[in-house]
Amino acid sequence: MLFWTYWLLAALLLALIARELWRASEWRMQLAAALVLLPLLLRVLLFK
Amino acid sequence: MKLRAAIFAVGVLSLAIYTGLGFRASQVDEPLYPSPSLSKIVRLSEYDSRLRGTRADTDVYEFGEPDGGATILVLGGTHCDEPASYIAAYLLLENIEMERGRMLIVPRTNRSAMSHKTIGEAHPPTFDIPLPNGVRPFRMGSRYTNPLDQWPDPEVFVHSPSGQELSGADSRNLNRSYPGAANGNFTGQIAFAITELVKQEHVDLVIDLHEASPEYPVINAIVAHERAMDCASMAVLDLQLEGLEFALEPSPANFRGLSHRELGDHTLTHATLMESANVSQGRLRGKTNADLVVSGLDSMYVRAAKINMTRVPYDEKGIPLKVRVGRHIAGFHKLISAFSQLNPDRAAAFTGIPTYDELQQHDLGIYLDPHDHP
Amino acid sequence: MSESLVLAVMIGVLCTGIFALRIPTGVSLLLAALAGSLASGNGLALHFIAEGSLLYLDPLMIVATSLFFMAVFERSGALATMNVWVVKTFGDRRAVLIPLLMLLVMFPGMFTGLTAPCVLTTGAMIAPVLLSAGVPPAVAGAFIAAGAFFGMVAPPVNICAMLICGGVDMPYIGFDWPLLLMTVPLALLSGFLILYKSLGGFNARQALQSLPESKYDLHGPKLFVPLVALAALLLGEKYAPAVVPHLGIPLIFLLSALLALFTGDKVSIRESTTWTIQQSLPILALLVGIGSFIEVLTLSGARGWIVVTLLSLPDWQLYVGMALLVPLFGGVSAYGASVVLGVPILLSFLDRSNILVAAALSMLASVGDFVPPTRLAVVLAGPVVGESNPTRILKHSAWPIVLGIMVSLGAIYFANDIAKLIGLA
Repeated sequence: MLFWTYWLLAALLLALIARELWRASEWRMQLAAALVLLPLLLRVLLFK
Repeated sequence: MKLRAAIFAVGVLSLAIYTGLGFRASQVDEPLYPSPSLSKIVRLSEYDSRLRGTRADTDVYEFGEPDGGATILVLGGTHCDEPASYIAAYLLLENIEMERGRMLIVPRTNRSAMSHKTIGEAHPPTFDIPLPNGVRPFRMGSRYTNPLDQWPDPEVFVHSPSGQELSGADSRNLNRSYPGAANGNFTGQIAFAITELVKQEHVDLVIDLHEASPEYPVINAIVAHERAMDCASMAVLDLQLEGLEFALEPSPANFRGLSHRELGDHTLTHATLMESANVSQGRLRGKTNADLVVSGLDSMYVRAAKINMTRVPYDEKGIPLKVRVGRHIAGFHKLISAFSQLNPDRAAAFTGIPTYDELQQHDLGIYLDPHDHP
Repeated sequence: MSESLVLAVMIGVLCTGIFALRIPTGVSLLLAALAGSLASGNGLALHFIAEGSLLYLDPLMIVATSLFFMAVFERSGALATMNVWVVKTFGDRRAVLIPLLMLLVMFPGMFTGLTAPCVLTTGAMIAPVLLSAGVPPAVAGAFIAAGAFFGMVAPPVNICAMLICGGVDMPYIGFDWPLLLMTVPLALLSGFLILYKSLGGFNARQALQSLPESKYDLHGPKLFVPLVALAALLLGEKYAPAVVPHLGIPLIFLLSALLALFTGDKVSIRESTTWTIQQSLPILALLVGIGSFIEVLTLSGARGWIVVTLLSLPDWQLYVGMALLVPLFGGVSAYGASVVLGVPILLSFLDRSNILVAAALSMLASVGDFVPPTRLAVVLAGPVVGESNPTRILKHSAWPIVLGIMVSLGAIYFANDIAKLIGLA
């Protein structure tokens, strides 16, 4: 139960950061956003 | 701007999928080839049904029959970054022939921990053991339960029932979770199932196989609960007579959650644990790769030994996997022989397992060759 | 390439990224990790880069959710109300105000063992008080970073000490008094040393004018329900586990934030989340980059080289080495420094009181939260006080750094004597 709550929280964060990647105009911010997506994707896709 | 965002998004998604599929591969068990003396395989979930269908539900291999001889339980892979622990268990289950008594072998005691690696430790996903013709790959796992099975960690892990506090990550450490509880966390459930197994199968002797860093004080040792002290001290004397340096360590009474302490206190078994010296889990190690796991040779530990930072003799020869597995196998022989001498009515007997010297002479691959198991 | 050269390459790429190319520190850490894996003959080692990226996934979620809590708490009007009350009550009494603010900043760290919740919650709460009192942003930032640092080390929860204990199979017992004695006096002293000059011209009436107005008349005490819930859940998890279920810090922050949506002014969730992500993104990227950096440090053997080189130093040089290398490694990650350096150092001091040595090492590793490349406490404090240059905050943080290092070394050197004095030996 707690696992899936945190999975949902990670998925939500993933969505918000993906939105920021899309909206940011500065490449440095976009790069930072892409970097943060990596661990979130690995966890949300249940790879690691 | 949008194009750049799209490129970054596709890039990171590809990286996640590419590396993710590699991580998934670690979740597949490598095949094991039990010896013909196998009488049955049961799942750990037989002892706690909550584990059924989870990544922690693991095989318990049973050899021999209930014939009045001792029931012995070997636990390998409690910590899956300690390869000698599970390779020794694999070697036992692929070669043992029981003559008297029952042998229960759990080669992947924390199977969830075998399905991933500890983040930050840079361990190789697999390592190869050379066979007479070719190699056999084995996975490198983690000390901890996979976070995909137990997440998030608490800030502080409070051991039940003692109330002892440890760092949050230890809530996924099976050997800090004994005796486990019916309503505990996932790792606690594994501990609970093992405790139930020991109770329900009336296990006389538990041998929990481990490894530790060469700088760690409890090393090249047999740790024993008070009830198992006679048996362990006899075994250590025997090992020393054969030229194998082993220390005898009493199970600390004030450090809770360990198998030798809790199985000893909560069941009637003789609980023991063995440690060999593994540089690939040490904090002083240099380059980390599959070679290091098998050769046990590391230049940083050679330097560390020169400044007396290791608790075992260490030089340019390293401490190869075959030596570490050999020590576990030698300890296994001596513990069972000591138990049988002390309890002649419950004696156990077996064949098929090499001695320490035979193992050093012939190498591990001879005893782990799947072609010998049609 | 030898381990020491690989380390030099990694540090070189890291510094080039941060200082010459001015790319985010997190991305620079990732580039340094890639360079390290190439230099050590491991190719691009994407498997390890990806694996390492998850090392601080949980702290990453703590930073994001705690910042979201603060965003909502501030927008609900509760923060301004609290600050007006603090200034009205303690504004004329510096001798009370400074210790009170310092202990307040430390509080979340004492129960989480992290600096981020201190800076981003109680730190952000007291920042307007300091700024309205005419304290320059850099000084206010240093005060908050100091509180966060001592809060992280202070008992009952000190994750660094727990990690060191875990590495040597020692229960985390008996740490409360040594840690309390090592942190609270130093925190109060540092607080006075950092602030005393700047608070000289403090004028409560003037400060009140520059603070946003109190919303107490409009919403009443229910404004503080989210804060009470937050404290109750954080404390309850530790002290009443039978009553309060284990939720984890991120979920506790999120639930308290959701509560704050209904206890004060109307808050736009969309605007608050956007603000949270924009503010936290560089820090989140930093946490991801650190993980990959550490993974490659281990893969390449540079990690082992650092440890063995440190432990090879004789006598007094070992103390100098510890004073420099442990905080420096802590600059990458305080937890990393505890596990990688803390454990072997403790094992080489087994003739001293283990508790004292482990407690001191945990403080030495936590000093790393001030040290580049990450300067986590300082970087976090920047946006909280509105100071865009973290180096300016760092300049005012000399006291906690120097006091922290000196007291840690002293505690290791005199470990047995101190242990006897406080009844541990």
